[in-house]
Amino acid sequence: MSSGETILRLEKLTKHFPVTRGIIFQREIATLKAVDDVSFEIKAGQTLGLVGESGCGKSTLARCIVRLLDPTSGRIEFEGEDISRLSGKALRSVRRDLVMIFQDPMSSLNPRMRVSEIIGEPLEVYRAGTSATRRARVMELLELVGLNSEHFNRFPHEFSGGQRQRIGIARALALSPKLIVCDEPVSALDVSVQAQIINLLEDLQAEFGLTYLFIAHDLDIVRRVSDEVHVMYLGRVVERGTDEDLYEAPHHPYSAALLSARPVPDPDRAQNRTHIVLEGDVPSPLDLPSGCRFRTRCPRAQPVCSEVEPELDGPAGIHEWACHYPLETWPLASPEDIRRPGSAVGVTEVGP
Amino acid sequence: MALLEVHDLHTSFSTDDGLVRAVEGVSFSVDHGRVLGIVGESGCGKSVSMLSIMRLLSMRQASTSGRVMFDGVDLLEASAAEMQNLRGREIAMIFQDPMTSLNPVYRIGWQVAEAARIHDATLSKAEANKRAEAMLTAVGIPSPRERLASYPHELSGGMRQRVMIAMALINNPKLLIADEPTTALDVTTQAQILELIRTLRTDLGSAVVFITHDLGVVAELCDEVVVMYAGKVVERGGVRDVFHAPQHPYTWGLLGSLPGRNLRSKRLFSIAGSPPSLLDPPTGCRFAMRCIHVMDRCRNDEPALVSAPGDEHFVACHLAPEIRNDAANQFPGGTA
Repeated sequence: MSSGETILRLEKLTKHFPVTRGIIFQREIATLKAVDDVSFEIKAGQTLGLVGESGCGKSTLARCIVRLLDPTSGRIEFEGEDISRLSGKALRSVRRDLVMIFQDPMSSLNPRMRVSEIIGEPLEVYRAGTSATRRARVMELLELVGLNSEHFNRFPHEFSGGQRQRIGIARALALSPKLIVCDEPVSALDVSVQAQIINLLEDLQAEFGLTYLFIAHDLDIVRRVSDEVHVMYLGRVVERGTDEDLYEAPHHPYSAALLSARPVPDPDRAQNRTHIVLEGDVPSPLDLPSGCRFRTRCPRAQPVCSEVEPELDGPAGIHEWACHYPLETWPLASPEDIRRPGSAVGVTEVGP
Repeated sequence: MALLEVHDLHTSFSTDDGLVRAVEGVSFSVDHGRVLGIVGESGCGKSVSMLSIMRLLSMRQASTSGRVMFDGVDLLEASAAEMQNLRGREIAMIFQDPMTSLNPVYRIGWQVAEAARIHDATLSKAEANKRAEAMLTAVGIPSPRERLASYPHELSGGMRQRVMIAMALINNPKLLIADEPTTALDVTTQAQILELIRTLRTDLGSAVVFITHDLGVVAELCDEVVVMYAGKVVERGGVRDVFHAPQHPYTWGLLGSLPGRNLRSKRLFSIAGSPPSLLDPPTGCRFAMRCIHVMDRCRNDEPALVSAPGDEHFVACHLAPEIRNDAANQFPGGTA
């Protein structure tokens, strides 16, 4: 697949978990809407970043895409084929091209397996080559991720956090995949090690033309690696755009609040800027607010927000937001600015 | 004289593999109404130095030396009873994980009120509860009266951290030690907690020691910064001096590895390798093996803290001041 073509396309992907009560006659008492109606596409060779706070459904979405979870409804098109209902052999062959890197490099590596076995396992599972070529491939992968052949026979506990993440990356690369879903790959690491892993992921992308779906809660890291960024809140994408769109001109109040909450590593800017401090906590996904999901914490909420759920929309291009009263100016001059919905925009954006 | 003065603090642990020198020669001071940030990677000794100051380490494994003057009292020399009296009243501490530091089988109200009652036997139960309620209100917990009857598991992470802060502040401590209080929290919740610590500092005039590995949080909150590496202070100074004219190669590495702004085209600066083992630390500068400016001298002589441009700005590095200043000028907001 050449770069620029769509490699992954989600269409109204939804994942609901039933909450049941009772042992024999399990009654469904509620539905947890973890991912609700998410659509997007990623072009080959690009990186799509997904940000949001814990519980917003980003990991569930990742797990649905690699089919560790079965989506409730919607389509997942990978290289033009709907993989959302695949099983058995067909699913197995897709999983060669579609792999995942996990957040916690300790719990995602089997402590009783040697590094060579961990990295070589995908090759063995897919019966790729002979044992001699597999061994050579493991050596090659070790070099590729910045480890060396003397690490071949060691166990995961002998490595630091950053090195373990490198092992996880080597395992993901073993079968030369096309798309890698990275679920918080650096959030468990120290800053200087984070930088090493991000550089490695960027180098690998340049070398092999990999496509990434990059999930993180750190806005700066997502901006750094992504061509396009999606902000999720309670199972929905509330705003999406290129990194410039989103970081220089956020329109959804939630994106704005996230950006303003992010600590800025520059004392002059940090201590003199406008903070938007959201009140309260994220509502329970079991009992979602009516209308717009963000309205309970939104400083701009108006009566219509509790009635009509806003859809993703924007004037042109890929920058879109789901809000009845989007922000017009950024950065804000004072914290009060976020409370003043611009009347003109407010009226035109509302509608069935 | 500053409220807290730590001078030449050493802490080591005896383990089966030998002596681990976790903290070696750490000195700093904090005054009323000031926030001191301590930054460094995991294992650099930030938490251990705080636990040493609070005398919360088991004496069987840890040995501590140096001088820790708090309001005229040497904490390392104080008796157990004196410490008991100071902890929670004059010096309070907030830990990283609010779930493990709250007792899961007691109600929030009881736990917060206990902190007040334990230091004031004359306080009646009703009064203690009233103070607990006032404190929960002060830290921004909605419907505080109902929350007094909740158990920790019924609250979200941010709420639990607020309860911890309420508990720490109920006796109006002169010094608050916060050990990565926002690391486990989401960014919007972190912003709420930082805002809270900011107002408490201005309203109560308490001194705060804030331990973190997040340089962004330091820039947001702190007046002074101590940068630690492998048990030692490598740089110390005002927050503007350290961020705009950093002097130590390790600080350059930390600041350079931040994914920051519009540098998509440029590779992130990363510090090669990993910190040395504290069982057998290298002689000379402990950062030498990862330093890109390393010289022969660095491997043998240990650099002492020397003063650097700026007010009360110190660095432990052998590099010539001109080289350091040139490098420092490349940082955003630097003098160049």
